Amino acid sequence: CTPTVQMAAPKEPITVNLNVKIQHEIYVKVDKEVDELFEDQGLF
Amino acid sequence: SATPRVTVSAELEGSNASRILAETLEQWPAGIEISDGSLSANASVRLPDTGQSLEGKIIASGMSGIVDRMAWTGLNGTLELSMEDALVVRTSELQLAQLNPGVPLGPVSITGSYRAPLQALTKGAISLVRGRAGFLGGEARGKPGEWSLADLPLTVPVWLNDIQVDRLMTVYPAEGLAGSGTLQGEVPLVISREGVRVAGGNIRAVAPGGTLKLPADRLQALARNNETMDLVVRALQNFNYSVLNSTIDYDQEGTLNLGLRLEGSNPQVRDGHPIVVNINLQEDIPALLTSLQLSGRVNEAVTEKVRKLMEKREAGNGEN
Amino acid sequence: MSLEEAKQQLDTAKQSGLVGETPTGYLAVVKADGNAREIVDAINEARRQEYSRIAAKHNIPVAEVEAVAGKKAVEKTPAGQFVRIGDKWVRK
Repeated sequence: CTPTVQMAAPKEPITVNLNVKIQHEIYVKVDKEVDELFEDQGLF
Repeated sequence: SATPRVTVSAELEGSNASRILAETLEQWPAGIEISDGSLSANASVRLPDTGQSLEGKIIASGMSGIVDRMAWTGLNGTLELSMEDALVVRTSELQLAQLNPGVPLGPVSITGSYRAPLQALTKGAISLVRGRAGFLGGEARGKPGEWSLADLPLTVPVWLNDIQVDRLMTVYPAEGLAGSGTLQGEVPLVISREGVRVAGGNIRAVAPGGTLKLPADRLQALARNNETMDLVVRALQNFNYSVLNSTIDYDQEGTLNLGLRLEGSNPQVRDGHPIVVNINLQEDIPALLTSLQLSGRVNEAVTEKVRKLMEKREAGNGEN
Repeated sequence: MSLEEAKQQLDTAKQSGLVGETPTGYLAVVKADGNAREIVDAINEARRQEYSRIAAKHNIPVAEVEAVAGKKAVEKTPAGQFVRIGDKWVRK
Protein backbone atom coordinates (compact mmCIF):
# COMPACT_ATOMS: atom_id res chain seq x y z
CA CYS A 1 0.00 0.00 0.00
CA THR A 2 1.21 3.48 -0.62
CA PRO A 3 1.76 5.48 2.51
CA THR A 4 -0.52 8.47 2.58
CA VAL A 5 1.08 11.64 3.82
CA GLN A 6 -1.25 13.41 6.24
CA MET A 7 -0.80 17.19 5.74
CA ALA A 8 -1.82 19.03 8.87
CA ALA A 9 -4.48 21.51 7.78
CA PRO A 10 -2.75 24.92 7.74
CA LYS A 11 -3.82 26.96 10.79
CA GLU A 12 -6.59 29.33 9.79
CA PRO A 13 -4.95 32.81 9.90
CA ILE A 14 -6.43 35.47 12.15
CA THR A 15 -7.51 38.28 9.81
CA VAL A 16 -7.72 41.89 11.00
CA ASN A 17 -8.97 44.76 8.84
CA LEU A 18 -7.95 48.29 9.84
CA ASN A 19 -8.51 51.84 8.71
CA VAL A 20 -5.67 54.11 9.81
CA LYS A 21 -5.56 57.85 9.17
CA ILE A 22 -2.19 59.37 10.02
CA GLN A 23 -2.28 62.98 11.05
CA HIS A 24 0.73 65.13 11.72
CA GLU A 25 -0.93 67.25 14.29
CA ILE A 26 2.04 67.15 16.61
CA TYR A 27 2.90 70.67 15.42
CA VAL A 28 -0.67 71.87 15.86
CA LYS A 29 -0.62 70.63 19.49
CA VAL A 30 2.83 72.10 20.19
CA ASP A 31 1.67 75.38 18.71
CA LYS A 32 -1.34 75.44 21.03
CA GLU A 33 0.71 74.58 24.11
CA VAL A 34 3.22 77.33 23.38
CA ASP A 35 0.28 79.71 23.04
CA GLU A 36 -0.92 78.74 26.50
CA LEU A 37 2.61 79.19 27.81
CA PHE A 38 2.75 82.77 26.54
CA GLU A 39 -0.86 83.70 27.38
CA ASP A 40 -1.59 82.10 30.73
CA GLN A 41 1.84 81.96 32.32
CA GLY A 42 2.89 85.49 31.46
CA LEU A 43 6.12 84.38 29.86
CA PHE A 44 5.58 86.59 26.79
CA SER B 1 28.18 86.53 -48.99
CA ALA B 2 29.07 85.09 -45.62
CA THR B 3 26.03 84.98 -43.42
CA PRO B 4 26.67 87.10 -40.32
CA ARG B 5 27.03 85.03 -37.17
CA VAL B 6 26.55 86.58 -33.76
CA THR B 7 27.85 84.70 -30.75
CA VAL B 8 26.69 85.51 -27.24
CA SER B 9 28.08 84.05 -24.04
CA ALA B 10 27.30 84.71 -20.39
CA GLU B 11 28.61 83.33 -17.12
CA LEU B 12 26.39 83.58 -14.04
CA GLU B 13 27.76 82.86 -10.60
CA GLY B 14 25.81 81.47 -7.66
CA SER B 15 23.07 83.45 -6.00
CA ASN B 16 23.08 86.39 -8.39
CA ALA B 17 22.36 83.85 -11.13
CA SER B 18 18.78 83.44 -9.94
CA ARG B 19 18.33 87.19 -9.56
CA ILE B 20 19.57 87.85 -13.11
CA LEU B 21 17.58 84.96 -14.58
CA ALA B 22 14.46 86.14 -12.73
CA GLU B 23 14.95 89.63 -14.19
CA THR B 24 15.60 88.50 -17.73
CA LEU B 25 13.19 85.60 -18.30
CA GLU B 26 9.75 86.63 -17.23
CA GLN B 27 8.40 83.08 -17.00
CA TRP B 28 11.20 82.26 -14.54
CA PRO B 29 9.30 80.37 -11.83
CA ALA B 30 9.44 82.45 -8.63
CA GLY B 31 10.12 79.50 -6.37
CA ILE B 32 13.57 78.73 -7.80
CA GLU B 33 16.54 80.14 -5.85
CA ILE B 34 20.14 79.31 -6.78
CA SER B 35 22.62 79.51 -3.93
CA ASP B 36 25.89 78.49 -5.54
CA GLY B 37 27.62 76.92 -8.52
CA SER B 38 27.78 78.52 -11.94
CA LEU B 39 25.70 78.63 -15.09
CA SER B 40 27.32 79.43 -18.38
CA ALA B 41 25.49 79.93 -21.64
CA ASN B 42 26.72 80.50 -25.16
CA ALA B 43 24.72 80.81 -28.31
CA SER B 44 25.44 81.60 -31.92
CA VAL B 45 22.78 83.10 -34.09
CA ARG B 46 22.87 82.95 -37.87
CA LEU B 47 20.83 85.59 -39.66
CA PRO B 48 20.42 84.45 -43.27
CA ASP B 49 17.75 86.33 -45.14
CA THR B 50 15.68 83.13 -45.22
CA GLY B 51 15.15 82.94 -41.42
CA GLN B 52 17.19 83.03 -38.28
CA SER B 53 18.60 79.95 -36.60
CA LEU B 54 20.13 79.65 -33.14
CA GLU B 55 22.47 77.04 -31.74
CA GLY B 56 23.31 77.24 -28.06
CA LYS B 57 24.50 75.50 -24.95
CA ILE B 58 23.65 76.06 -21.30
CA ILE B 59 26.16 74.43 -18.94
CA ALA B 60 25.43 74.04 -15.24
CA SER B 61 28.29 73.10 -12.93
CA GLY B 62 28.04 72.36 -9.24
CA MET B 63 24.85 74.35 -8.85
CA SER B 64 22.52 74.05 -5.88
CA GLY B 65 19.66 75.93 -4.25
CA ILE B 66 16.00 75.60 -3.47
CA VAL B 67 12.90 75.12 -5.60
CA ASP B 68 9.72 75.83 -3.67
CA ARG B 69 10.28 73.79 -0.47
CA MET B 70 12.79 71.32 -1.89
CA ALA B 71 16.54 71.60 -1.60
CA TRP B 72 18.51 70.59 -4.71
CA THR B 73 22.27 70.14 -4.78
CA GLY B 74 24.98 69.25 -7.29
CA LEU B 75 23.35 70.13 -10.62
CA ASN B 76 25.75 69.36 -13.47
CA GLY B 77 25.12 68.93 -17.16
CA THR B 78 24.66 70.56 -20.52
CA LEU B 79 21.50 71.55 -22.32
CA GLU B 80 21.91 71.90 -26.07
CA LEU B 81 19.42 74.24 -27.71
CA SER B 82 18.68 74.73 -31.37
CA MET B 83 16.01 76.89 -32.91
CA GLU B 84 15.18 76.87 -36.57
CA ASP B 85 11.67 75.87 -37.55
CA ALA B 86 11.18 74.43 -34.03
CA LEU B 87 12.80 74.74 -30.63
CA VAL B 88 14.75 71.62 -29.68
CA VAL B 89 16.31 71.26 -26.22
CA ARG B 90 18.41 68.15 -25.66
CA THR B 91 20.58 66.77 -22.87
CA SER B 92 22.80 63.71 -23.07
CA GLU B 93 22.96 63.68 -19.26
CA LEU B 94 21.66 66.15 -16.68
CA GLN B 95 22.73 65.11 -13.18
CA LEU B 96 21.50 66.23 -9.79
CA ALA B 97 23.29 64.93 -6.69
CA GLN B 98 20.22 65.24 -4.51
CA LEU B 99 16.66 66.54 -4.50
CA ASN B 100 15.23 66.72 -0.99
CA PRO B 101 11.55 67.64 -0.29
CA GLY B 102 11.91 65.97 3.13
CA VAL B 103 12.80 62.55 1.80
CA PRO B 104 16.17 62.52 -0.06
CA LEU B 105 16.09 61.51 -3.72
CA GLY B 106 19.27 61.10 -5.68
CA PRO B 107 21.53 60.89 -7.54
CA VAL B 108 19.12 61.89 -10.27
CA SER B 109 20.09 61.58 -13.92
CA ILE B 110 18.02 62.52 -16.93
CA THR B 111 18.64 62.00 -20.66
CA GLY B 112 16.10 63.22 -23.13
CA SER B 113 14.85 66.03 -25.28
CA TYR B 114 12.00 68.51 -25.79
CA ARG B 115 10.79 69.70 -29.16
CA ALA B 116 8.17 72.41 -29.66
CA PRO B 117 6.90 74.47 -32.60
CA LEU B 118 8.02 78.09 -32.34
CA GLN B 119 4.49 79.36 -32.08
CA ALA B 120 3.57 76.98 -29.23
CA LEU B 121 6.67 76.65 -27.10
CA THR B 122 4.81 75.16 -24.12
CA LYS B 123 2.87 72.60 -26.16
CA GLY B 124 5.84 70.53 -27.35
CA ALA B 125 6.74 66.87 -27.07
CA ILE B 126 8.98 65.46 -24.34
CA SER B 127 11.05 62.39 -25.11
CA LEU B 128 12.52 60.61 -22.08
CA VAL B 129 15.43 58.33 -22.95
CA ARG B 130 16.52 57.70 -19.36
CA GLY B 131 15.32 59.10 -16.08
CA ARG B 132 16.34 57.56 -12.79
CA ALA B 133 16.86 58.59 -9.18
CA GLY B 134 18.31 56.84 -6.19
CA PHE B 135 15.55 56.36 -3.61
CA LEU B 136 15.59 54.69 -0.16
CA GLY B 137 18.53 52.43 -0.99
CA GLY B 138 17.04 51.44 -4.34
CA GLU B 139 15.91 53.44 -7.33
CA ALA B 140 12.94 55.02 -9.06
CA ARG B 141 13.20 54.74 -12.83
CA GLY B 142 10.93 56.42 -15.35
CA LYS B 143 9.77 54.33 -18.30
CA PRO B 144 11.32 55.80 -21.46
CA GLY B 145 8.71 57.29 -23.77
CA GLU B 146 7.27 60.28 -25.61
CA TRP B 147 4.61 62.65 -24.23
CA SER B 148 2.93 65.66 -25.75
CA LEU B 149 2.29 68.61 -23.47
CA ALA B 150 -0.51 69.54 -25.84
CA ASP B 151 -2.78 66.84 -24.47
CA LEU B 152 -2.54 66.68 -20.72
CA PRO B 153 -2.78 64.79 -18.44
CA LEU B 154 0.13 62.63 -19.38
CA THR B 155 0.99 59.37 -17.60
CA VAL B 156 4.60 58.46 -16.84
CA PRO B 157 5.04 54.95 -15.42
CA VAL B 158 7.76 54.89 -12.74
CA TRP B 159 9.32 51.62 -11.60
CA LEU B 160 10.51 51.23 -8.02
CA ASN B 161 13.32 48.68 -7.53
CA ASP B 162 15.28 47.50 -4.46
CA ILE B 163 13.50 49.89 -2.08
CA GLN B 164 14.86 49.02 1.38
CA VAL B 165 12.26 48.77 4.14
CA ASP B 166 14.86 49.69 6.78
CA ARG B 167 15.64 52.99 4.98
CA LEU B 168 11.90 53.69 4.65
CA MET B 169 11.57 53.27 8.41
CA THR B 170 14.42 55.66 9.25
CA VAL B 171 13.09 58.39 6.91
CA TYR B 172 9.65 58.37 8.47
CA PRO B 173 9.41 61.10 11.17
CA ALA B 174 8.45 58.72 13.96
CA GLU B 175 11.30 57.37 16.13
CA GLY B 176 11.83 53.73 16.89
CA LEU B 177 10.52 52.21 13.66
CA ALA B 178 12.64 49.41 12.20
CA GLY B 179 12.21 46.77 9.53
CA SER B 180 13.83 44.75 6.81
CA GLY B 181 12.93 43.54 3.36
CA THR B 182 13.10 44.76 -0.23
CA LEU B 183 10.20 46.27 -2.15
CA GLN B 184 9.52 46.74 -5.84
CA GLY B 185 6.61 48.14 -7.69
CA GLU B 186 5.20 50.50 -10.28
CA VAL B 187 3.80 53.97 -9.69
CA PRO B 188 2.12 55.63 -12.70
CA LEU B 189 2.53 59.42 -12.35
CA VAL B 190 -0.41 61.32 -13.86
CA ILE B 191 0.80 64.87 -14.61
CA SER B 192 -1.69 67.65 -15.37
CA ARG B 193 -1.93 71.42 -14.96
CA GLU B 194 -3.25 70.90 -11.41
CA GLY B 195 -0.22 68.84 -10.38
CA VAL B 196 0.96 65.27 -10.06
CA ARG B 197 -1.09 62.37 -8.79
CA VAL B 198 -0.76 58.59 -8.77
CA ALA B 199 -3.50 56.26 -9.92
CA GLY B 200 -3.31 52.51 -9.59
CA GLY B 201 0.23 52.14 -8.32
CA ASN B 202 1.39 49.00 -6.54
CA ILE B 203 4.32 47.84 -4.47
CA ARG B 204 5.21 44.44 -2.98
CA ALA B 205 7.97 42.79 -1.00
CA VAL B 206 10.22 40.37 -2.82
CA ALA B 207 10.51 36.85 -1.41
CA PRO B 208 11.23 35.75 1.31
CA GLY B 209 9.78 38.95 2.92
CA GLY B 210 11.23 40.48 6.07
CA THR B 211 10.37 41.90 9.49
CA LEU B 212 8.52 44.97 10.79
CA LYS B 213 9.27 46.39 14.25
CA LEU B 214 6.75 49.12 15.07
CA PRO B 215 6.89 50.10 18.78
CA ALA B 216 3.51 49.94 20.55
CA ASP B 217 3.41 53.63 21.56
CA ARG B 218 3.99 54.68 17.96
CA LEU B 219 1.10 52.53 16.77
CA GLN B 220 -1.14 53.89 19.52
CA ALA B 221 -0.36 57.39 18.25
CA LEU B 222 -0.82 56.36 14.62
CA ALA B 223 -4.15 54.57 14.99
CA ARG B 224 -5.85 56.23 17.91
CA ASN B 225 -9.41 55.82 16.60
CA ASN B 226 -9.27 52.05 16.33
CA GLU B 227 -10.41 49.64 19.03
CA THR B 228 -9.32 46.25 17.61
CA MET B 229 -5.70 47.35 17.78
CA ASP B 230 -4.41 45.21 20.65
CA LEU B 231 -3.59 42.03 18.69
CA VAL B 232 -2.14 43.97 15.76
CA VAL B 233 -0.13 46.35 17.98
CA ARG B 234 1.48 43.44 19.81
CA ALA B 235 2.01 41.46 16.59
CA LEU B 236 3.63 44.34 14.72
CA GLN B 237 6.21 44.87 17.42
CA ASN B 238 8.18 42.04 15.83
CA PHE B 239 6.29 40.83 12.77
CA ASN B 240 7.94 38.39 10.35
CA TYR B 241 6.06 38.84 7.07
CA SER B 242 6.12 36.59 4.03
CA VAL B 243 3.67 38.77 2.10
CA LEU B 244 3.64 42.58 2.03
CA ASN B 245 1.89 44.24 -0.89
CA SER B 246 -0.02 47.45 -1.31
CA THR B 247 -1.96 49.48 -3.80
CA ILE B 248 -0.83 53.11 -4.06
CA ASP B 249 -3.05 56.07 -4.90
CA TYR B 250 -2.18 59.75 -4.38
CA ASP B 251 -4.56 62.57 -5.20
CA GLN B 252 -4.15 66.25 -6.09
CA GLU B 253 -4.72 67.41 -2.50
CA GLY B 254 -1.76 65.33 -1.33
CA THR B 255 -3.59 62.43 0.29
CA LEU B 256 -1.77 59.11 -0.06
CA ASN B 257 -3.98 56.02 0.18
CA LEU B 258 -2.30 52.66 0.68
CA GLY B 259 -4.26 49.39 0.54
CA LEU B 260 -1.74 47.34 2.50
CA ARG B 261 -1.85 43.54 2.96
CA LEU B 262 0.49 41.81 5.39
CA GLU B 263 0.76 38.06 5.99
CA GLY B 264 3.07 36.70 8.67
CA SER B 265 3.35 36.08 12.39
CA ASN B 266 5.01 37.16 15.61
CA PRO B 267 6.63 34.28 17.53
CA GLN B 268 5.61 35.93 20.84
CA VAL B 269 1.93 36.42 19.86
CA ARG B 270 -0.44 33.41 20.03
CA ASP B 271 2.81 31.35 19.69
CA GLY B 272 3.33 32.39 16.12
CA HIS B 273 -0.19 31.84 14.84
CA PRO B 274 -0.43 33.16 11.24
CA ILE B 275 -1.97 36.65 11.06
CA VAL B 276 -3.26 38.57 8.04
CA VAL B 277 -3.59 42.33 8.36
CA ASN B 278 -5.39 44.43 5.76
CA ILE B 279 -4.77 48.11 6.42
CA ASN B 280 -6.28 51.04 4.55
CA LEU B 281 -3.65 53.62 5.39
CA GLN B 282 -4.25 57.30 4.67
CA GLU B 283 -1.30 59.69 4.96
CA ASP B 284 -1.32 63.45 4.44
CA ILE B 285 1.88 63.90 2.40
CA PRO B 286 2.07 67.74 2.52
CA ALA B 287 1.72 67.59 6.32
CA LEU B 288 4.32 64.79 6.43
CA LEU B 289 6.76 66.78 4.29
CA THR B 290 6.04 69.97 6.24
CA SER B 291 6.85 68.25 9.54
CA LEU B 292 10.01 66.81 7.92
CA GLN B 293 11.02 70.19 6.52
CA LEU B 294 10.19 71.97 9.81
CA SER B 295 12.29 69.53 11.77
CA GLY B 296 15.33 70.65 9.79
CA ARG B 297 15.73 67.40 7.83
CA VAL B 298 16.24 69.32 4.60
CA ASN B 299 18.35 72.37 5.32
CA GLU B 300 18.12 75.58 7.28
CA ALA B 301 17.03 77.61 4.26
CA VAL B 302 14.03 75.34 3.59
CA THR B 303 13.12 75.18 7.29
CA GLU B 304 13.15 79.01 7.36
CA LYS B 305 11.10 79.22 4.17
CA VAL B 306 8.48 76.76 5.48
CA ARG B 307 8.30 78.65 8.75
CA LYS B 308 7.61 81.91 6.89
CA LEU B 309 5.00 80.13 4.78
CA MET B 310 3.28 78.90 7.94
CA GLU B 311 3.40 82.43 9.38
CA LYS B 312 1.81 83.88 6.26
CA ARG B 313 -0.84 81.19 6.33
CA GLU B 314 -1.57 81.90 9.99
CA ALA B 315 -1.53 85.64 9.42
CA GLY B 316 -3.91 85.02 6.52
CA ASN B 317 -6.50 83.37 8.73
CA GLY B 318 -5.40 85.25 11.80
CA GLU B 319 -8.65 87.14 12.12
CA ASN B 320 -11.07 84.19 12.58
CA MET C 1 15.18 88.62 40.89
CA SER C 2 12.31 86.17 41.29
CA LEU C 3 10.35 84.90 38.31
CA GLU C 4 7.25 86.68 39.60
CA GLU C 5 9.04 90.05 39.73
CA ALA C 6 10.44 89.46 36.25
CA LYS C 7 6.98 88.67 34.91
CA GLN C 8 5.57 91.88 36.43
CA GLN C 9 8.32 94.05 34.92
CA LEU C 10 8.40 92.29 31.56
CA ASP C 11 5.77 94.42 29.83
CA THR C 12 7.23 97.75 30.90
CA ALA C 13 10.72 96.55 29.91
CA LYS C 14 9.41 95.66 26.45
CA GLN C 15 7.46 98.90 26.05
CA SER C 16 10.49 101.00 27.02
CA GLY C 17 12.63 99.12 24.49
CA LEU C 18 14.96 97.49 27.03
CA VAL C 19 14.23 93.88 25.97
CA GLY C 20 12.85 92.19 22.83
CA GLU C 21 11.79 88.85 21.33
CA THR C 22 13.99 86.78 18.97
CA PRO C 23 13.30 83.90 16.55
CA THR C 24 15.15 81.56 18.95
CA GLY C 25 12.16 81.54 21.31
CA TYR C 26 14.11 83.44 23.98
CA LEU C 27 14.15 87.08 25.14
CA ALA C 28 17.27 89.23 24.66
CA VAL C 29 18.51 92.57 26.02
CA VAL C 30 18.09 95.50 23.61
CA LYS C 31 19.52 98.16 25.97
CA ALA C 32 21.28 97.09 29.15
CA ASP C 33 19.57 99.62 31.47
CA GLY C 34 17.82 99.04 34.78
CA ASN C 35 17.37 95.34 35.46
CA ALA C 36 16.89 94.33 31.81
CA ARG C 37 19.49 91.57 32.14
CA GLU C 38 17.87 90.02 35.27
CA ILE C 39 14.40 90.06 33.65
CA VAL C 40 15.74 88.35 30.52
CA ASP C 41 17.59 85.66 32.52
CA ALA C 42 14.60 84.86 34.79
CA ILE C 43 12.07 84.67 31.95
CA ASN C 44 14.38 82.64 29.69
CA GLU C 45 15.09 80.14 32.45
CA ALA C 46 11.34 79.54 32.90
CA ARG C 47 10.84 79.30 29.13
CA ARG C 48 13.70 76.77 28.80
CA GLN C 49 12.07 74.43 31.34
CA GLU C 50 8.63 74.74 29.72
CA TYR C 51 10.01 74.11 26.21
CA SER C 52 11.74 70.89 27.32
CA ARG C 53 8.59 69.73 29.12
CA ILE C 54 6.55 70.19 25.90
CA ALA C 55 9.28 68.57 23.78
CA ALA C 56 9.45 65.51 26.04
CA LYS C 57 5.67 65.19 26.03
CA HIS C 58 5.51 64.99 22.20
CA ASN C 59 8.80 63.16 21.78
CA ILE C 60 10.28 65.86 19.52
CA PRO C 61 13.57 67.76 19.86
CA VAL C 62 13.45 70.91 22.07
CA ALA C 63 14.78 72.89 19.09
CA GLU C 64 11.47 72.34 17.33
CA VAL C 65 9.47 73.75 20.25
CA GLU C 66 11.88 76.72 20.42
CA ALA C 67 11.38 77.28 16.68
CA VAL C 68 7.59 77.34 17.06
CA ALA C 69 7.87 79.63 20.12
CA GLY C 70 10.32 81.95 18.34
CA LYS C 71 8.04 82.34 15.36
CA LYS C 72 5.07 83.04 17.63
CA ALA C 73 6.93 85.48 19.91
CA VAL C 74 8.17 87.59 17.01
CA GLU C 75 4.73 87.50 15.37
CA LYS C 76 2.85 88.46 18.56
CA THR C 77 5.16 91.38 19.37
CA PRO C 78 3.00 94.55 19.03
CA ALA C 79 4.05 97.53 16.88
CA GLY C 80 6.60 99.80 18.53
CA GLN C 81 8.42 97.02 20.34
CA PHE C 82 11.71 95.44 19.28
CA VAL C 83 12.26 92.10 17.52
CA ARG C 84 15.54 90.61 16.38
CA ILE C 85 15.83 90.14 12.60
CA GLY C 86 19.15 88.56 11.55
CA ASP C 87 21.75 90.33 13.66
CA LYS C 88 19.98 93.62 14.33
CA TRP C 89 17.11 94.88 16.46
CA VAL C 90 14.16 96.17 14.49
CA ARG C 91 11.26 98.19 15.97
CA LYS C 92 8.07 96.65 14.57
